[in-house]
Amino acid sequence: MPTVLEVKNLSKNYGQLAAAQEVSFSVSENEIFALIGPNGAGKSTTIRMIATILSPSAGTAEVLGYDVTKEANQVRELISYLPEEAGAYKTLTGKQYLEFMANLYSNDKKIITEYINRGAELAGLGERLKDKINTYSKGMTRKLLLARTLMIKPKLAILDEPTSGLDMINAMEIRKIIREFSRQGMAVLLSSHNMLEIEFLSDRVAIIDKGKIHEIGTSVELKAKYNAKNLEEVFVQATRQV
Amino acid sequence: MHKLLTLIKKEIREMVTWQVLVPALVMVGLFMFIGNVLGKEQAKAKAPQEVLVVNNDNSTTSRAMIEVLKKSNFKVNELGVAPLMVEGATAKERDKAIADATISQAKEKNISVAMIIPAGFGVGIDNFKPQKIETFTVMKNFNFQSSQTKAILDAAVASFNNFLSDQMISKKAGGGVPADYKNPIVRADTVIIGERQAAVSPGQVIGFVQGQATFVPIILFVIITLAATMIATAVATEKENKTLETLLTAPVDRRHIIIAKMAGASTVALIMAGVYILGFGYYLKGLGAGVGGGQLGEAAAQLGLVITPSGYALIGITLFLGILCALSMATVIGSFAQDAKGVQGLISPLMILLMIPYLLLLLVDISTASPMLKYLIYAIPFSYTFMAIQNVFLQNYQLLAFGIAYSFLFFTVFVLIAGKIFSSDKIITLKLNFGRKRKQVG
Repeated sequence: MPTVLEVKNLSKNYGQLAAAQEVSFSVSENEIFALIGPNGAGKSTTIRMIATILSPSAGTAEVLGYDVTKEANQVRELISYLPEEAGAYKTLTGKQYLEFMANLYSNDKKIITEYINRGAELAGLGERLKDKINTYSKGMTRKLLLARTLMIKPKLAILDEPTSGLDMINAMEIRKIIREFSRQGMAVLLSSHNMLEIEFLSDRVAIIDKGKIHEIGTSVELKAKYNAKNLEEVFVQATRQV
Repeated sequence: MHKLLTLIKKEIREMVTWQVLVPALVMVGLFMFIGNVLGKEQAKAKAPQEVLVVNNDNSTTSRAMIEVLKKSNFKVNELGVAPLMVEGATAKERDKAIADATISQAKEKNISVAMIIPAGFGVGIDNFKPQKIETFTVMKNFNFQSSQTKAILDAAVASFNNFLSDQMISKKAGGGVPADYKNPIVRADTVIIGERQAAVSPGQVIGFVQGQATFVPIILFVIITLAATMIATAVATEKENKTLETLLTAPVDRRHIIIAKMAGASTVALIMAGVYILGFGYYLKGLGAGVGGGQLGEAAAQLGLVITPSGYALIGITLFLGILCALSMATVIGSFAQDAKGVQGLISPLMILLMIPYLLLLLVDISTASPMLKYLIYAIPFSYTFMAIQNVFLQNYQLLAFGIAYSFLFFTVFVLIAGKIFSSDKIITLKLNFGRKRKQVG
């Protein structure tokens, strides 16, 4: 499979604090790659550098050959990012929000309509799409945001805690959608605290702690290597050895 | 262009809300109401004022005085003294009865000023001896309008004095025009502005200019404050509502994000400007602060105190650049705020920058100010905004051109700074916490 994302020795320092240290991994087409680690491990910093929000202190990250720092505009055409604590414009209705975002990704009316229709279908909010976002529950807003992220069918979807704040049924539905989109060719980089979710969704996993990647592999490979029952045990053992 | 228009549309939709419009409309209503009330009061003041006069003298002089009052736009209400004459009463008792009747009549007829011309008044005047008249003022409140009562009394007494002094001068001087004796010097005023001059008093010119330019700085102050707060809040709210990160990863030129926010805030500022000008217009109309016409209008035209289309254009450019300067500064300020609440504290330096020229230009003559003060005023771009109308009137085109160039440079520098912040990760990492705890970087 062709590589969509190539990360090499990516680092980010805030003064003395090294939020990410020489992080390297790659994500291919059709692949779901997960970063797992506790709060403050460097997941979000790594993701934000790839999403062109933060500038790396060192190292490179390329999306289909475009550098996230030097060719950020080209990278933004290829990616779609869902931040962990993302919000939406409260004065807009759900439909207006999808329209607004779709218009930022294309100038072609036909494509824009296609994006909006897909977004509306993914959000599954029915008539509530006509309501103002400030009337939505946390779960409804999250579904709308995920729909916004995926409606443009990006080459690389960057999802930071995609099911955060969602109930079990909605979370399952969203995992299913992410899987389906991945099968259609989309590469996915996600982070999550939920090890079960990671095990269910991811093709490969990177264990990250204190800004460093400790292990990369499939869930099966990692569990076998550490003779662990689940990824939580893998995480504990992998980070203890360092 | 399509993406920029999409962003502008979103900003306007976000900024033009009922929460913004309702207070503005209430303000217009309030101004209209106050203007209407003041207008009615002014009309009342211009109508003939009623005075109660008790003529206890009934001489030719006192009767002539009452005629003078009537000709001087007073409605004279005379109280006859004959029914008050009680046989056997002493002079003191009679005077008290007349005073009591005067007060009671004034209260009953709702007349605020009354006066008693004493017996022997005419004879005293004929003998060139100063005479005393008793005055009574019924005060019902102490507000701005109560000064009207004092004005009525002063005007009535001034009419008497004028008439009597004219009469005395005529008798003593044995002919001639009394006014010539009272004011042997007659002023012939000429006001010069630049190369132009007109035969008009400086007081009239100042009144004319102030009548036109008084409320402009107030409106400007409101607009600039509003626009600056709005754009800084818009940037901070994007951070607070966690929408900024999504926007920054969309394939849009980051300069367009700034331009859209500025366009949105400018649109709202212009709407508000229109609304406030409308409200203030009604208010000033009520106050009767209209521009003088007739002779004064002609003198103003001779002096070039008429704003020509090119003058309007220069004022417009200066005002617009002032707003843009505030918007660009506020965009940078908004980048430091973590949330909309934080904007209130951060925007204060900008407010101070607005207050300094606003107050200094009201109180200080810039041409005679100390060099330090001059540099301070000229260093603040908003000074040129506040001085724009005055500079057009005074044909200070060099200063106007300098102001436009300086404001443009100031705006460009701040837009570049804002662009630099938005193009880098500083838009996410810049924070002024003011003692609040920092979030952990994850």
